[in-house]
Amino acid sequence: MRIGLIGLVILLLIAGALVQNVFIGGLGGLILLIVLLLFLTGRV
Amino acid sequence: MAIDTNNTSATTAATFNIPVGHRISWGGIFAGVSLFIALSWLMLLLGSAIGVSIADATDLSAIGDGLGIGSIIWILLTTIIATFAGGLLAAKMAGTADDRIGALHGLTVWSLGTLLIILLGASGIGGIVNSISGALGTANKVSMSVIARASSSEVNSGLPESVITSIAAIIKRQSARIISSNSSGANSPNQGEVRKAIESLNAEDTGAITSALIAGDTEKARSELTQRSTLSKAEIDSIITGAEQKVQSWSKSDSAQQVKQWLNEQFNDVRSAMSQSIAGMAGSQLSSQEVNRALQQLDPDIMLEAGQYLIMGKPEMAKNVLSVNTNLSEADIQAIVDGAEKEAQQFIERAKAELNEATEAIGTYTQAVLWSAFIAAALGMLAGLFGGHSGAGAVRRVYAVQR
Repeated sequence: MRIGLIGLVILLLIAGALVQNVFIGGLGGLILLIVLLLFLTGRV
Repeated sequence: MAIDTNNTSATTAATFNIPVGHRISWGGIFAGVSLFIALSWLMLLLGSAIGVSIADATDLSAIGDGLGIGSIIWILLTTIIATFAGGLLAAKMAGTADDRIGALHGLTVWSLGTLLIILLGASGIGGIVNSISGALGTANKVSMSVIARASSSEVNSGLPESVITSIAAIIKRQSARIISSNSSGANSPNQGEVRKAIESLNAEDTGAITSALIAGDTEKARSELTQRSTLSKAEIDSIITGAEQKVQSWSKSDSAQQVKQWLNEQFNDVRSAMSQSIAGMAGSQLSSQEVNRALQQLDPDIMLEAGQYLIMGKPEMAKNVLSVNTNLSEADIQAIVDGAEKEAQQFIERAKAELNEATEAIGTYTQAVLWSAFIAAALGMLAGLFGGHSGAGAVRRVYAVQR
């Protein structure tokens, strides 16, 4: 799950940077924040 | 590593062996942050050397092309490598074998490093050590310069000073046309000659033509010359062709000064030829007076003021300025302003379109920089976490070998 989530975040962020799309980049950032919270609370 | 809350604290400690005391190693984090900043600087230098660095704020043509894909990739790569290495070093220096604590050290390196870069950026030296900071600084500088240029006009019309000067030139040309068409007398000079004498090119005109020539844009130089003077096509062609040959033969460093000097010589030649021609033709008292009157009344300040009113869309005020400050007849003023107004409007529209284009290009550039900065920071955080995680793994491997 951890690898999958992080892979998705990296993919979305890189795609967002290259195409400069608000939705792709924004979704990447949002999932990244969720992953960080899960990590800090010890759930991932 | 979940803690069983049903057990007593003593049992819990014995079972899970939770480390006591501070689990954070500020020494390790300091080392990690140092490495992060040093690596950022190193990668920035390497980027500059291989030509994918951030465009210079003075290089407007590069900014117009937008932030290149190479620059975006370089910003991402720099941040990821620097934070990964920083996190790795911090976790190794902390000596923790716990993956999670290692990752937290990496996260702290990223956050502290980012904070430092922001502080350095705010103090104006961030661009020297970090590509994101440099890119943001560049975008900021360019935006500021465009805003400054757009607001430099006194009438706050959003047009640069050069437009007002050009409008003044249009009024001047129109005035010359009217005055010369009204000049009379048996020996009055040829209308075209009067016009040419009045419109002899000034320093600003020379500057505009020089910059076009230096940029290698001969078409622009030709159109500037056509617009700013009434030289014949043959005269313009000979000046441009001569200048092209001269520019090619001069080195880059001194071409600006030399082209300017050479152009001035050319214009002075044309100017003196015209004056002599007029002096020869203007035999009678009447025609000399008319030429003098025409030249004296075309005060640059008045032309500028009238030009500003034309830009503001107030031709009546432009007429008032001319009638108060000159001895021109009402009919003459009417003809001058009406004639200049149409030409001025076209010029203003063109200048506004150019300004909008420049602003749009800078907006796109700034947006690209901000996107890159955001994605780089986000990926940097992940890289920091991974770095710390790997650092803890490395510590475990080292201890395993030692055991």
